[in-house]
Amino acid sequence: MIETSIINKIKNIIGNRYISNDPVELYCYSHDYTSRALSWIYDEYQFMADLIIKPRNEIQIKEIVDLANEEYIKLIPRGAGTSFGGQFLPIDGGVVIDFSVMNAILEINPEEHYAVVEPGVLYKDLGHELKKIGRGYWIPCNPGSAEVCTIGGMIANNASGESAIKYGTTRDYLLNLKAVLGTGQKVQFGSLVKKSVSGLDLLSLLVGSEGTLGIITEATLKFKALPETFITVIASFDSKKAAIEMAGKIQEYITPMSLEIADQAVLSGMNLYLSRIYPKLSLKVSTVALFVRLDGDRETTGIHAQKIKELFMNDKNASDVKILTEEEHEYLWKSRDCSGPSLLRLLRPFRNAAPYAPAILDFAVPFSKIFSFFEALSQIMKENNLGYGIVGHLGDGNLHINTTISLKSEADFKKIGDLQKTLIDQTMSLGGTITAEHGCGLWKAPYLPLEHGKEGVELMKKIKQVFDPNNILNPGKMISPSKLGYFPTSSN
Amino acid sequence: MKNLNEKQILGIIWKCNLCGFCPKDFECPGFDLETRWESSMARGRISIVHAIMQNNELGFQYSPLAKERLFSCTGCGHCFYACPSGIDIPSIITLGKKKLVDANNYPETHKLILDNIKQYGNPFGETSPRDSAWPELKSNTEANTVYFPGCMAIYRLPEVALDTIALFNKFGENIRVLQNETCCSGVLYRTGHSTQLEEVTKSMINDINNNPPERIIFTCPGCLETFKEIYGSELKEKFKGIELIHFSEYLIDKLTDLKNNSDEIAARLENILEKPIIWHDPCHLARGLGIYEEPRRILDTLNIPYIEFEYNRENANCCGSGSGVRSAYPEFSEEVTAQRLEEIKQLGAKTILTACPFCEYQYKAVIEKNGVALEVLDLNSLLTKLLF
Ligand SMILES: Cc1cc2nc3c(=O)[nH]c(=O)nc-3n(C[C@H](O)[C@H](O)[C@H](O)COP(=O)(O)OP(=O)(O)OC[C@H]3O[C@@H](n4cnc5c(N)ncnc54)[C@H](O)[C@@H]3O)c2cc1C
Ligand code: SF4
Ligand code: SF4
Repeated sequence: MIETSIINKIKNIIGNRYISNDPVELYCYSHDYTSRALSWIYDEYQFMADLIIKPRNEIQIKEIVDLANEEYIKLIPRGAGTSFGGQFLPIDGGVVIDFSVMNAILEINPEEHYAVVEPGVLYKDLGHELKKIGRGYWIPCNPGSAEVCTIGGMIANNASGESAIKYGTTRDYLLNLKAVLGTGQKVQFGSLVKKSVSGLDLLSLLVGSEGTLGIITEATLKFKALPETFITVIASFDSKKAAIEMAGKIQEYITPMSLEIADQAVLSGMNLYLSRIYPKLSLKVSTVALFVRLDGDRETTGIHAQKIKELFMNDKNASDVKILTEEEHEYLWKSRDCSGPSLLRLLRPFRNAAPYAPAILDFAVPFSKIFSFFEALSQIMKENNLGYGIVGHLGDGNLHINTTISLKSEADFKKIGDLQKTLIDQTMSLGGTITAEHGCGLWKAPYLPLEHGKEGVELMKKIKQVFDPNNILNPGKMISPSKLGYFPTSSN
Repeated sequence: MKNLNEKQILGIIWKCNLCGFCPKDFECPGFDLETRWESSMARGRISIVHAIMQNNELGFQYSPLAKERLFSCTGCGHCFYACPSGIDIPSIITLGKKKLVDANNYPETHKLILDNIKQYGNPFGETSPRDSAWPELKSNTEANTVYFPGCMAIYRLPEVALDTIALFNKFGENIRVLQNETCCSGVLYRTGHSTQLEEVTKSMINDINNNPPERIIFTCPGCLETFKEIYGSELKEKFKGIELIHFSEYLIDKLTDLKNNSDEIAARLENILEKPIIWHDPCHLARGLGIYEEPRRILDTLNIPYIEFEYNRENANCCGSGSGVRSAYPEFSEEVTAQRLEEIKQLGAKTILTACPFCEYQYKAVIEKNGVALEVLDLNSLLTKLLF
């Protein structure tokens, strides 16, 4: 609980209109899919922030951080609240800083190809403005949530998605960042030039730090010319192995903009969503499908698309090969972006008024190890009698595993916890990462030492100590794990 | 929107993975664009209902903020369309409203609507004879087609009913109205008073049951949606087998007749209204009942030129009046309409055409209040102007 006198001080900084401690508002900011499901059985997952504030400028943020240091108040930055890792959860109360109204596009500089934005700007809104300039520009590090997430959230998560194989992650588009560190110090990392090797790369430290080191107040992102055209080629495969082999062959020929895999369950979910938004497109529900997106000038992209089509056609394990029309292309990617949530369309809600398995499991393994990962996964799922769907950025070895069970008892929750742990072990044994894009947040933080070793995590803690000595920023996340981050398992 | 029980709704809520694809800025009329509070997003409203259902001890059923957030939802269904997980958000919010009604925490004006429907059979508390404009239709007990004008046309926009009746006559349709038409009471369901639904509509539905027509044709999409989706199984049993359609669907069968008049229509169109015309998809007709193309086909057949909103069909934006929002939060409701009027202004349209008396009434009221130079017409009224 934050004392009334402190709340009044915060009110003086932020203004009445942009502050709330109404319990209804607090509740709306206090859970994610996973914690809400867990709270069905475990009371300790019923989190509640003390206060929500909506700053509009850097001065206010600086004053809030200073006050938080004086009074030891926890601060939890939040963009659009779309993270899957529990990044924005106020696990120990505190003040949620919602950036949704600090959302001005401050400058778009077509000559230097950069845009300066406040952190609450939505990626899609910036994209919309960039498209309007000249022949059109873009920042191609779009996550699946591109339609709804903020630039601040993308930076703090170092988000990336279907285009990462060719275009990289949010980090690759950042030139400059302004932030208020946990110490209250205002900093500016980076510059307006496209390359610089002067000094340690402090900007990169903030990127992907999930709001644990500093609060981003302004970002300068570079943009690129929009390709003239996009073409998507799809095909069904009768085995995962065949699809992976094909993905290898494609990459020998070209690095496509996207190289995605979706299994039977995911394809069925996508079809249900498509039937609502674009019934003209229905995907063949096969063992797995590959979606290859190409971009570039019209002529070359057309040639590449034909080549990919040929590769597919010459593979006896492939069928339903198709080059999509422009409209089909648009809706395929819209449904692919939402393939996780649309998987839930497959589940029968009426029978069990109980939560569904919340863990959207984000892993990556080296490309050459993907098939081993799949085999192990199928074994684990069979042993545990769990339904699931897989979708992923195959080119990056980045897979999302969504379980499709209803959690009717504590034992079911523990099954998910066991699964999480087993898959983390499996990923580590294959030389992968516990999270390629969704982030550590609350739910993966405890496993960080498995990937980085004790020493690695100790170094991270020392950095945290420098940036945020009083541990006021986003407690329990990433570098400072909470025991709440451990999903219940059969052994605890 | 569907009338689902609590267990079904809870099952749906658990499927909301909080992905955030539902708020969509101004596409949710209830979303506060200026302050962007989470509780004003569809996702937040679901959380509020979830808390009310799961965490009684939080006491949200008595909260003024919960009341404002849930009762300012117009039930437009835009969020339902946008949700990748297929969450029927309007139904969830409606259940939340019911919980608040149970806790006696709901807008005063809704109490008045309820009392009026109970006492006078209409939400306005009107006492004047409702069928004065078309008495012969009431005494005709033979016709196999019933026309259901609905309260808005009967009490506020009688020209919609009169024009529709004129069109029926033109097509030689033998029609009647119910002897005992009361409010369909969809508004009660949509404002959380679903428990009263059966009681207040029983006698009308019994009437239908006693002299069943082959079909009932509606001009108000809200009434049609209520008959089709909201009445419970007991009520539905009583009009089982009767075809329920909207007038725009009826007109599809008359396209050949209409086409014969297209030269005449083209000539008249020049003089009777200001162009361009813009088509407004009513939420209950479009997302609610899936009727998007019928009105457009009618206009196309008659070569009546019209323009579209940037957001149309499944993506169309709400006029701001539904689910008792106009009565409970008039200022807010009118702000939403003003946003639509601004879009219309940008597009340069001069006449709004629609097929829902509620939307028409709302537009008219705000146009008049704000002194905007725009005309609003029901599709049927346009057709009568062109055909007679
Ligand atoms: C359907 C769906 C698909 C998704 N697909 C992808 C994907 O393909 N790739 C991917 O990477 N992610 C994906 N995500 C996860 C998530 O949406 C993204 O990582 C997104 O960028 C998070 O942005 P947000 O605005 O929602 O931030 P939030 O979730 O609100 O916050 C994210 C983190 O940023 C911090 N933060 C926010 N603003 C600031 C600030 N100004 N200063 C400091 N810290 C801040 C928060 O504390 C938190 O740690 C997906 C999510 C959904 C729902
Ligand atoms: S879009 Fe659907 S699943 Fe996502 S937050 Fe909204 S209601 Fe929930
Ligand atoms: S039904 Fe309409 S008003 Fe209600 S939450 Fe959904 S989009 Fe908003």
